[in-house]
Amino acid sequence: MPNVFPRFQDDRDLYEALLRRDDRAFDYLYAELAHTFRHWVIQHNGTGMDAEDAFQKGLLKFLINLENGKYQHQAGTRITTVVFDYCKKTWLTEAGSYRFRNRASLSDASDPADTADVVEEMQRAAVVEIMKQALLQLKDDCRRVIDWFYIDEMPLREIAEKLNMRETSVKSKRYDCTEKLKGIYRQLATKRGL
Amino acid sequence: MKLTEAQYELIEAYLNGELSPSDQASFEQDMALDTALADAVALQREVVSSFRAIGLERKLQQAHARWQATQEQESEPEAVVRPMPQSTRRSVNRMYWLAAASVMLAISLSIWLYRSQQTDRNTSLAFSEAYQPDQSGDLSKNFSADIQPHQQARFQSIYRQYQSGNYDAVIRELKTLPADQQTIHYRNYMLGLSYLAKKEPAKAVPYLTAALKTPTQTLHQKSEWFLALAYLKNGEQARARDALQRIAGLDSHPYHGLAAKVLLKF
Repeated sequence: MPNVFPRFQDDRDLYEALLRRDDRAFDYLYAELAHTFRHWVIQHNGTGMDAEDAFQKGLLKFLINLENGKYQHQAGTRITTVVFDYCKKTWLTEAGSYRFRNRASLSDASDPADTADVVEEMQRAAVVEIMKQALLQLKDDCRRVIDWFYIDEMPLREIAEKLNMRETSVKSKRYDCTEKLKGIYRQLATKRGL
Repeated sequence: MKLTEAQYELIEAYLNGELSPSDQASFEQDMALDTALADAVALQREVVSSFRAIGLERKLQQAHARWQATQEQESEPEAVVRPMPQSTRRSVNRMYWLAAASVMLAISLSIWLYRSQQTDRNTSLAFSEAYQPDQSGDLSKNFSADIQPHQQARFQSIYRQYQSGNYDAVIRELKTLPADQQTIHYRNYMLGLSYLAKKEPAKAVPYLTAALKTPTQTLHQKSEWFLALAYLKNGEQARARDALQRIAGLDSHPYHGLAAKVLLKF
């Protein structure tokens, strides 16, 4: 069983664990925030399912920003507060667009999400979605190499061991498969007008 | 721009920050002069960042599953065994046991009722979230070669009716269609889909099960997915879970991501 209440010395320690993609750090954020956030969403006319979705999306957005350096940890900042804000913003954006689609008025004084941020997030999500589709269209052997190398971040040496191949051959295969993937991605992206 | 292996390696090294300062400066200069190279770098950056995001998504799904498991464990009522006090009067003892048994029965019934309501609600929510009518429009693209053009045209017209929501018309037409070996799987699939769309999952299940016999991979995968949803809608949770786990476990299955998501919901 995972340790559900992992302890971190301070927020810096947690920040570094998140950067390392340490499972204990993800478990900690779930244990600390998931219930409170669920309660907050339900109070704001959402359901438990909405809360789970917004929590996953908000947390993902935060972690992407943490990894690409857009979020820089500063001493004195509580990471749980920042994550909660990301999730809150995600829910308010989604609830806002739902109300808009349904022509209902916004009755509460929700802070509107930053438009540029939302557009950027939608574009990012669209690119990721097309990349997933492109990956699915690759043949099994290529898909495995791409999955292990780019998604699981497995070193080439380990992939070579798994496939019983030489590392240089795996390196060439990775090149070959990535180029194939890009070709499919370009076609799909053009079709989708990206 | 199709990259050579050397160009690809150079771009990787640049994006990973592995070039020396002078090599980096010269590479950036090349990019400024060569838009094709700059585009290739941008595309490689998209590949890397998309897959990092997909990796993170997977990590979060796993964390979510672990968290849910701990929640279920915490909500599990613990069986408390207490020694019964010995009594000298048998009738009092019997009364005590009867009262205790009634209380236990009432509590067990309440827990069972609560849980079944919760589970029904969860499966119903999971279904509503995952179910989308098949609007892919690619049914006709996947017809096997032995289907005659006039049959293809008939199925395309039926599929268009399905897309516009005329499920009763689709069912009527398909039921009058002469069954033959080439089209039987498409017929079963469309009938299953239409019943599911009409919220009659019990009727959808046998047709979608029969459609699994198709030799066409795309149709087989779609049938598997909609059958899992039909089980879910029909309250057959164990079967739904088995089917979804099978789909989620196949990376090559077009619905594997969705199946993994639905599995987290109930």
